[in-house]
Amino acid sequence: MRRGNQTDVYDAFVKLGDDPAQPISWVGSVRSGDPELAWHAAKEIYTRREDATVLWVAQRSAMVTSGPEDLESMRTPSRLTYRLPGKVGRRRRARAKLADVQPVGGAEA
Amino acid sequence: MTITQGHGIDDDTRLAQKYELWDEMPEGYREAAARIASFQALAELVGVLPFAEWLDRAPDFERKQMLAAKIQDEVGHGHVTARVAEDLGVPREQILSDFAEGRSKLLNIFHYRFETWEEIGPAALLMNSSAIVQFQALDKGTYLPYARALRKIEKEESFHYHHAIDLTHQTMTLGTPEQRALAQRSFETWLPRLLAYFGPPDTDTYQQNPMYTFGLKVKSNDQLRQEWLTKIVPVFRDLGIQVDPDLARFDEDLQEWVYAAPDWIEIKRILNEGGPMLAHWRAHIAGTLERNGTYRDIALEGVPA
Repeated sequence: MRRGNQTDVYDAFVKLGDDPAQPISWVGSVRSGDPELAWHAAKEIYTRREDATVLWVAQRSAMVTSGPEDLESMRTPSRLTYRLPGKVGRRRRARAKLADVQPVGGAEA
Repeated sequence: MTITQGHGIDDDTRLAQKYELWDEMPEGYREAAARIASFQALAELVGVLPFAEWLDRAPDFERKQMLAAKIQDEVGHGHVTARVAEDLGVPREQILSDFAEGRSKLLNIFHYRFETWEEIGPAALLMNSSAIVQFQALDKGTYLPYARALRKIEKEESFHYHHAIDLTHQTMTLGTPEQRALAQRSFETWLPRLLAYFGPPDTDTYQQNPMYTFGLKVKSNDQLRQEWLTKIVPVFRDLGIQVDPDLARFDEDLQEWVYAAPDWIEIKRILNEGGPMLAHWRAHIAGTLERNGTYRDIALEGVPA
């Protein structure tokens, strides 16, 4: 994890198209000395051919971004198995088998 | 030489490992990715100048609007690819000053200007279609920020392509015989230049080229050249341009295009010593850098005390 260090770089995020359920996505960056001008530059560069419904810019130096060293800590499913439905499902089936009754809720993934 | 069939991009092991800006990269990879992005940024920014100088000579308002849109697009492409290069450590000022001061080379096709309005349509069509073929291969490459930039650029190139077809169509349909002859001559002048744009014929060792092993270069020069001819020659024929078989023809026996080889010695001379317009474009970029320098410094660093 690290802090951005470039005050004149702004990352641009847009939501494109008619489907309001689409996520807002990172599209690239612009260089500017001023936040509003950065927004206008991003509008001119990244929304030229598709209708955008959302356009954000964020100064890179104000962002905290992950690095390769953070991969392990972000890999939830393998690290925190006790959060997963499969884990509790297996427990329930094992318990039902011991008690010789039908498990509730059917097979879990 | 044959086009390698079945050597699909999807199962090409060179292209399996992709990289983001923050990933660890093999030795030399970062520099190679920076080189390809800054080279393209320069090509976009200088490549727009031959078009820009026709802006106030466009024959009607609609055409002028479309030409302005293309010019803005290309400058935007310059910005996007320069950002990719800057993130890898090559500042855009360096990309431009290296060019202005003669330290970097320019693609062969940008060493010229358009002598007539009628020349623009066929030349732009050859340029756009070859750029699209190039980008559609390069966007499968291994450096993801560059691949994303290219996919954005392709959407706009598609408009340029159709604009160039429309421009050529107008000349060939409504033009005088003199104008049609100019369009025909433009095709014959620019075809060899664009054949050369794809680079020298494949050597036996092109697969050992680091750009290729890194997966930054996706297809070989000859592969791309063949794909491009397959795509573009029929388009010109439909527009009423005569494609002289001595310039390019599809050989049924060989199952590939046979074309008049560009004058590689002359191309090399142009790349090293400069073509007719290089000095002019250099002076233009140098002048712009100097003229806008004060504003740029204030915008990026604040008003000096």
